[in-house]
Amino acid sequence: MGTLKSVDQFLNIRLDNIKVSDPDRFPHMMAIKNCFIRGSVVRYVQMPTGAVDTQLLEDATRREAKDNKK
Amino acid sequence: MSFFGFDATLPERRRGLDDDLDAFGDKAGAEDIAVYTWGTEDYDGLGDQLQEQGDDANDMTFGGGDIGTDFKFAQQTAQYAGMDSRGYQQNQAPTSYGSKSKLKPTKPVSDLFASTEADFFGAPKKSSRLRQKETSSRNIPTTSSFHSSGNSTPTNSTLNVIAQQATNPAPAYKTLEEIEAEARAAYARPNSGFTASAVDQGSYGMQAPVSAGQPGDRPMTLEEIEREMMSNLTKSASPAPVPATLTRQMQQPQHEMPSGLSQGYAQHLYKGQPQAQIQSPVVPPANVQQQARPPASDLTGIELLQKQLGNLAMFPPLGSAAPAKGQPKSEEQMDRELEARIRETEMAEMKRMRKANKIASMSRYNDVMTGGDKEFITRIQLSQLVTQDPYTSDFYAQVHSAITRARLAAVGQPVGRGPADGPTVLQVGPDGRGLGVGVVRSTGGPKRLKETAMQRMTVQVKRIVENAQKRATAAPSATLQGALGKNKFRSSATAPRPTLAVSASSKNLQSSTASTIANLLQGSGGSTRPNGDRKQPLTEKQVLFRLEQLYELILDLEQMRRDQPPPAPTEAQKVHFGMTDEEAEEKRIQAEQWSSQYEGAVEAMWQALLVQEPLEVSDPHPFISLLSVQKGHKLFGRLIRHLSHQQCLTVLILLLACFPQLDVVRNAPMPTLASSSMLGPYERANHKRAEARTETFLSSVIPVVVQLVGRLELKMVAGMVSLCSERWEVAKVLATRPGVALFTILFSRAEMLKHIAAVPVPEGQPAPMVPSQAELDQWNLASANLLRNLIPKLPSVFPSTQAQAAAFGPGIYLLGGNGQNAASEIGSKDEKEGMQMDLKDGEVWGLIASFGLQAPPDEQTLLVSSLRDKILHTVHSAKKGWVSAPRGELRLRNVNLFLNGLGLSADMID
Repeated sequence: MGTLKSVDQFLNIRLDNIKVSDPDRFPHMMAIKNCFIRGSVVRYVQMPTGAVDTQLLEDATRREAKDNKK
Repeated sequence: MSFFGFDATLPERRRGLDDDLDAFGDKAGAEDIAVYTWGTEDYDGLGDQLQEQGDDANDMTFGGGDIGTDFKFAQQTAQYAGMDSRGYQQNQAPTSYGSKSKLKPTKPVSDLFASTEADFFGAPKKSSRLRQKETSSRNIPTTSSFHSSGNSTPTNSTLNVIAQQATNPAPAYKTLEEIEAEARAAYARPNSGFTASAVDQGSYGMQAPVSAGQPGDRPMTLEEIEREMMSNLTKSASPAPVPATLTRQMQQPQHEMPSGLSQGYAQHLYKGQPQAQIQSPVVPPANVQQQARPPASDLTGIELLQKQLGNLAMFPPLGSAAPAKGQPKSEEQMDRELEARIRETEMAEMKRMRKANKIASMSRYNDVMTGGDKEFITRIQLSQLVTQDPYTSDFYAQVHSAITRARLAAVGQPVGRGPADGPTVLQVGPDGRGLGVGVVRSTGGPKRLKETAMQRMTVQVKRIVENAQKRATAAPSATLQGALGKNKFRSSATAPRPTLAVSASSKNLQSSTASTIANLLQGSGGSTRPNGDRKQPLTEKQVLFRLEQLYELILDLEQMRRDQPPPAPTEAQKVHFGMTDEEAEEKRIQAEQWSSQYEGAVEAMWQALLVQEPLEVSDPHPFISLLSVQKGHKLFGRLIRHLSHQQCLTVLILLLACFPQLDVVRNAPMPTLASSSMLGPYERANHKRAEARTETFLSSVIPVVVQLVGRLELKMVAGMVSLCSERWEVAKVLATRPGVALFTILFSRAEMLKHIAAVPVPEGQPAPMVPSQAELDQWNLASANLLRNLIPKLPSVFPSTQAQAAAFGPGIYLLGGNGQNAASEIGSKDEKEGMQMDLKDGEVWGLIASFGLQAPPDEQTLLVSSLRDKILHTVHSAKKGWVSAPRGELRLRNVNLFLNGLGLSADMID
């Protein structure tokens, strides 16, 4: 859990100011402030619902799909 | 090993001792133990050389009064110990307790103060963690290592020493309880120092007497002591050897052995468990010093102990039930318990150690990357996001941040980054290339700093992109071995495998099918066909296809809106901006081009909407079909924005005309009296879906309708109402929430217009909306017509009535009279559902109130009389407490909404 800093084409993720939501399982991550996560090992990304505009996102995907179609 | 005549035996070892105690003297020989007899031929007689009165020199040997720091071994050892841990506390805890333990050592095992060892050490553990942090950061605080030396001042009891030493052995800790128990046991024994010392000697099973028997100038070497201790610790069950030559031992000056021992012991500890030892070496010397200097009364260590034990006896054990002696069972239990505890603690310790090691090993990689390295990675990542058209490719973030900014601005919060104070797109290329950074950051740091950082980043990213381009143009091509021709190497970094590997052909196929379907529809439903030609209604798939098509059109339209060039400048503006005629002309042409494009797009959308299809073309009408899914509901509002007024009107009329065909009306969720728990899972899911559809319809379509109706003249409203009453079974539609909402909109609009008509328009003000008398008449006629048809059926409109009807009969339409109104509240209805039902009833009451306002007086009477039962029932149920208080209140309010409009009140009803 942290602030997303950047994502690249491989969906590698860089996070800042991370917090560990399960310290029992990942005690070694406790001391870490920022990290780079290889995209292939990401199972899922959780975002707060309020931060996502679903309709807009739908539109964005539609645009993308359309652009790809062309 | 005995220290100063104290029993330091491990309990399991003492087991045998206790049994032997009484017959000690006799048994000693018979026991299968090493018996040391000084004076045989291999005895070197060194013991005889001992000075029995040598205590005078003790001060010289050990230093009196002021001890130099040379004795503070812990300072040296602590440097090697590196990390401090359990051993540290184990020393600490008992010592701190030790000074008090003079009073409390006789406590039973089930000590209130330390139920488990973990508990016992629980509190200091934290601090030790902290300390460990300090020490592990490679500078060992030398001062803290001598921490407990204060405890080992000569004022301390011998108990203290033993406590410390007894607790030290790593493989088998001695807890305070143990020590206490031992002290107790020792005290309980025949009160001669002799025995106590004997027991003590046996307790560690050391061959202490042997070595102690040697003259003081040849103490055991450390290795020997260690070895012995190890062997003793391992052979736990065997009865401890009881030295026979106790007298000798008694006569030993006690200064040599203890110091040597404790040193050796510490050494042993140090080797065995490096972490568990910091304090241990400190204490013994200090104590030794104390011990070695006999008090003026010439007490030996044993005598001292006895004195203390005597003191103990004066304080009866707090918990009573102190197992002084002869309680083997409880002792066994205690042993087991202790063992379990020890194991537990060991496990915990091991776990903690492993964790600490892991963290330590990982911390080697701390700060391997500098901040600059990390930034570089970020820039590489960012450079890959650079696109030709950042606004489009970063569409979501751009629009989302714009919306968020607008919202923030509306709330009045400071906006971190806006169009005014910073671009949302970083331009890194000459041709509009860039990347979007359209993220709202409401926490604005020092702006200047951020900007320079941004600039720097832009430059760097630009460089990376340029380099990448150069590389790409000079793409290496090489011959793979065995391959024919040349293969172009493209690293996976520059051309990653696309995540969705859908081939282009299949996409084309899809889109072409979609377009053929659309063409088919358009062709078949076009105006070329004669009117009245019936067609199949759109299937769900077709609806979805068409909706997607519409969405694309709308996205285009919205993009066009965003790209709208400024309108052609007027003459005044031209002068103002100092434009040349050519520029102005150019602008004008641009604007024209845009508007023609836009109109073309709107026209395309209009066609796609299928509004122009004849009304009877299918049931439901294609346009209505589009509104059958939630996606369509959401689309509706966005569509209307782009349509002209005339087109909107057409849409509205079509919507009204085909209102009963709407999915939300036709398949309206039936209000059920039975709580949803009585429905099957399938039904419930269905019901839920229908409810959700209704919700979106009410929240996205109805507001648009309100907006549209708000622009209508009374004439149009009247026309619509009569259209409705002609075309549909109004009662049926009114039984649904969208229907109620629609009529409420229409009637309230009419009411508003009538108000406007009633108020004389001030002179000189244009009042285009003021209805003429003819319009008013038309409206009155229409509404009267509607009401005449509707009034008999009005009671059935209420959701609560429908629900009751559904509970009694197969369908809601079967109910005629008002008889069922009086039907009592059928139990089992959820309070929550009931509340919702009442709220929905409230909507109907609101509608009926507006009916009442519109109706002429005789109609009003009719209205009231037809609703009489319903009113009475509702009011009674509220007043007589058939329903809960909040619901009753709600019901009264509902009824009053209607009655007040007619100048009545629920209070009049008794």
